[in-house]
Amino acid sequence: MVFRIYTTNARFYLDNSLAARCFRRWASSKPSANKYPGLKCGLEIHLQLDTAKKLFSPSRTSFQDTPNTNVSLYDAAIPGTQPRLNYHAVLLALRAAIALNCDIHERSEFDRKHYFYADQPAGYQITQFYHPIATGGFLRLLPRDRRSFKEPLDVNLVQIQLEQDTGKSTYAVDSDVAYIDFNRTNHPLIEIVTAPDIYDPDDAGTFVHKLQLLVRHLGVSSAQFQAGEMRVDVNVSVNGGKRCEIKNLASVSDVTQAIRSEYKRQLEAEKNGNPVSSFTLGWDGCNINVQRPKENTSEYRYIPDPELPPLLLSQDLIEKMQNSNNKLPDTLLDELVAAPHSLRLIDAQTLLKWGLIDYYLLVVGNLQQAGIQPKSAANWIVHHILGLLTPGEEKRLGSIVTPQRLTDMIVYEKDSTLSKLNAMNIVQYALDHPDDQRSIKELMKAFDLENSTDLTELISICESVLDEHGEVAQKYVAGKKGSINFLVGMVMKQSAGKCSVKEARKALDMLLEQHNK
Amino acid sequence: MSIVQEGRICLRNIASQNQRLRALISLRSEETVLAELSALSNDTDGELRGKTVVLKDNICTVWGKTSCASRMLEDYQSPYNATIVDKIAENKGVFLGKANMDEFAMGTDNIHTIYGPPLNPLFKAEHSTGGSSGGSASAVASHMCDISLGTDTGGSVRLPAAYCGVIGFKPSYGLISRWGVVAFAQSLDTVGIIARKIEDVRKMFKVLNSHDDKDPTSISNSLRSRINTRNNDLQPRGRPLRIGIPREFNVDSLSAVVKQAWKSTLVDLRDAGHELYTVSMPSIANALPTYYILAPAEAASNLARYDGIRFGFRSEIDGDEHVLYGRTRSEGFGTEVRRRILLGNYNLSSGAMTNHYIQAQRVRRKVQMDFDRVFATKNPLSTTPTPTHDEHTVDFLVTPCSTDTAPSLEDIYAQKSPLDAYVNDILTVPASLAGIPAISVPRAAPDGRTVGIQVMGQYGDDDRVLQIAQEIMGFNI
Repeated sequence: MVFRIYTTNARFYLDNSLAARCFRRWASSKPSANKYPGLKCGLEIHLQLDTAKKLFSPSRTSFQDTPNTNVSLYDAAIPGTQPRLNYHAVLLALRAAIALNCDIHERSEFDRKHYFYADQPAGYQITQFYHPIATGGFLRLLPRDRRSFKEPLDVNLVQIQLEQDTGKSTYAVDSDVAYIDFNRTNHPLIEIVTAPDIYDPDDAGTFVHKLQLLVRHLGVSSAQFQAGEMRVDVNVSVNGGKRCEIKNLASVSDVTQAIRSEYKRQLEAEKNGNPVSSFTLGWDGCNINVQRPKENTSEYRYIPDPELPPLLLSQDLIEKMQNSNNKLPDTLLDELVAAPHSLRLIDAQTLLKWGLIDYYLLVVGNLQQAGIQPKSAANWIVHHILGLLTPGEEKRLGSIVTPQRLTDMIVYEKDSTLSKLNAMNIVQYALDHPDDQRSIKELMKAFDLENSTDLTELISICESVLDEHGEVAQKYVAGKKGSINFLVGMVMKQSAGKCSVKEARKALDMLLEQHNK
Repeated sequence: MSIVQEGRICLRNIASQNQRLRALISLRSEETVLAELSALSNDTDGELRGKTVVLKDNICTVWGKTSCASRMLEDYQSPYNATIVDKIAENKGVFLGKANMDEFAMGTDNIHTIYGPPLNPLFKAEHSTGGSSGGSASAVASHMCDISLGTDTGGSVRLPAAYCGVIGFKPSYGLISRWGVVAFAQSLDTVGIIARKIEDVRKMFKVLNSHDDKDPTSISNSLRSRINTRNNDLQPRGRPLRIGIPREFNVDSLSAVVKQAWKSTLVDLRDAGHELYTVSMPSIANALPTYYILAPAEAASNLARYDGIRFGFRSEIDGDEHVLYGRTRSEGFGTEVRRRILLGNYNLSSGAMTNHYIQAQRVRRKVQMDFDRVFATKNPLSTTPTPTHDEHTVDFLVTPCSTDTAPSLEDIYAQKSPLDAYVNDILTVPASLAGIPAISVPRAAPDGRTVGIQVMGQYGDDDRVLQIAQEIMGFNI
């Protein structure tokens, strides 16, 4: 190996580069006392920002459309076209950077990173190499984020940069043709680079999961792995050796498993006397495979973009965003498990995971006036409604089963005019008929779902059930208390769900007691 | 004469001379042109009503081709018009065709073109038009059109204008939209105007000088009004102007005829009541190497998009082994373009980046500061106060635009090194690095040849540069 001394000039410039920032981090070593001695990981995470338009052009970002339908002249790198920055992307990047405790830079710049590939139409990607929008920062992992944690762990960040996504290549199976779709070209991304502060594969997974929930909560990115909205690269080194990069990990469990495998691979190589050299690796879900020797940064020929002006943010804007009272997930979880909410941690986490905390809080606000505990709102959402939703449907839940509608149902159930069973029928109906704006009361009338308040009718149903299932009633009387559930079920069935379980049980108890006498 | 009659003369000149001069490489049909002209003949409005206009072939038009004189784009048709093309049409200018140029605007003598070099109409023997907007200058000089547009990155409008005996104006950087102008080096690229009459330059400039949202380097409206306010304060005329003669432009390679023309222009200016001052700008010595580091670096990046996949030339064989597009790019680009891409990529490689590219950026800054120091007016773009100094400050700088008159093609081909051509840019490159307005005006020399005299002014002082240019033009009569 050749060591070089940087000249003064070189230091001035290179010290500002990502490479230098990373190098300093990787060069230091920290002893670790865990199951994976000598392991050191850093993550590079790409997140697609949830903007309607692309980063430097006015075309739409929905790249699931028919290929090459959302491609502006600029996206296709047609000669003579120029970029125009989408400030919505800047705001989302800022929001993420603030939530991650970064130093926000009033002045950042865009650089071009060159490499030839068919899905990179300009021959370069616009990114922020020398002067990113934010540096530093950390994400704190708490014991509640993973059961085995004893104390909080801060994962430090090196930087957050804004950049363009590339197009997509699809390779035909039985020929050497590749198809290119430019819909994704120029979609805004942020890349989050962590310091090599992770010494355990599970911590890496926890970090990724927590980051995913955070950016979703902030509305920064939908961060779905399957849709490519979140992509993770992992750098792994063992015992201070060369580091290898595993590209494009597509789930939280892939992240942990790939690191475990790579740790073993590097340890074994070391044991066998084959020093690990820098490689770019792939992960197929079970195994690490070597793709190519790692590129040197020089090959990208970074150049400050000669036509994009520097991105200038006023201190005023930065402060305004920092002081906005949008609560972060950890704060919200703290609040939800404490009085007056007093939710179970897992329920609060579920609400967070599905992005339903705001919804929950609105319902709780309504219930307060009716004197009903917040907990019941959480129970309804977490234990009943979520089960009815197909993935993605949670996003429109609030506009279909509006907070008012859910409040009404909870209130009606409490005063026994609506059974939970029928409430769920209404939820299902509402999801299937989003245009039906009628109130819960009107729906209950229209579908005849109101609990029968006629006690004589309930008693007569119960009597006929007891007649029909005399032997079950006998068992109950003989002490087999579980048998009552069967009888309650039969009563519910005969009444078409129009009575509450509580009422039915009460009526049955009463009749059986009389019977006994 | 009616605009139709004037248009007919241009069409006749094209028909009789273009085959020899190779000034225009794609033409609109005579019927279309005449129909447009006669449709305009009863109009009274339109800043450019009936003016015949030719565009350099790196300006995108939906009609004709936009080839950049490169095999890479030989059959390329742009799907959209450059902003400036629409503006000219809105103001009732009439397009005649597209002009020959150095491939992708890289060249000094306009010999790097797939169409063969355009010829200089001032000479009987084959002489260079200068580059890279050689076709644009040749078309104006041979009366094929009233006005042509070129692009000026390091002198590409001014030098051809000087060689061909016409006016070549490079406005302040960022005033004219570049949306639809194929990029060579965006931090320097400026659309320039070539005409025989200063009035025509002024008209075209008035039409093109406005903000364009599509161009991120287009100067904002608020900065424009700030510049206008400053310029209004400068307005009081009649007082003698202070003319600067920068010592560093008196380079060894200046020919006798150029030196003589420069001197006589200065004498005329003094006789007209202006004051002359010698000024010193030490950074100018480094301007040329700075330019030849920055411009090719940007060019290498900009030209990375020509891979033959979405448009343009594509070689039969797309890639060799694991090298993509190698053949497409080496067959599609000419030697000069390939040379500059190589030079640019070298300077951007990590080994050279700091010592070359970054250093060049610093020198560029120094050049800008040198100009700010000699001009009496403040640079509206600079936020730092101009350092105080003892020297005189001046309103304008007057220099030659080229070291000699147009060389013959024979002499050019006899040059040993491509660097010989680069040296010609020494007088024009400083204004490009500083982004300031510069114009070349023709000055008749005693032996009958024409020399280009360059006037440079502070950033945004474009109107006064045109005024003084007009005054210098008057000395010829």
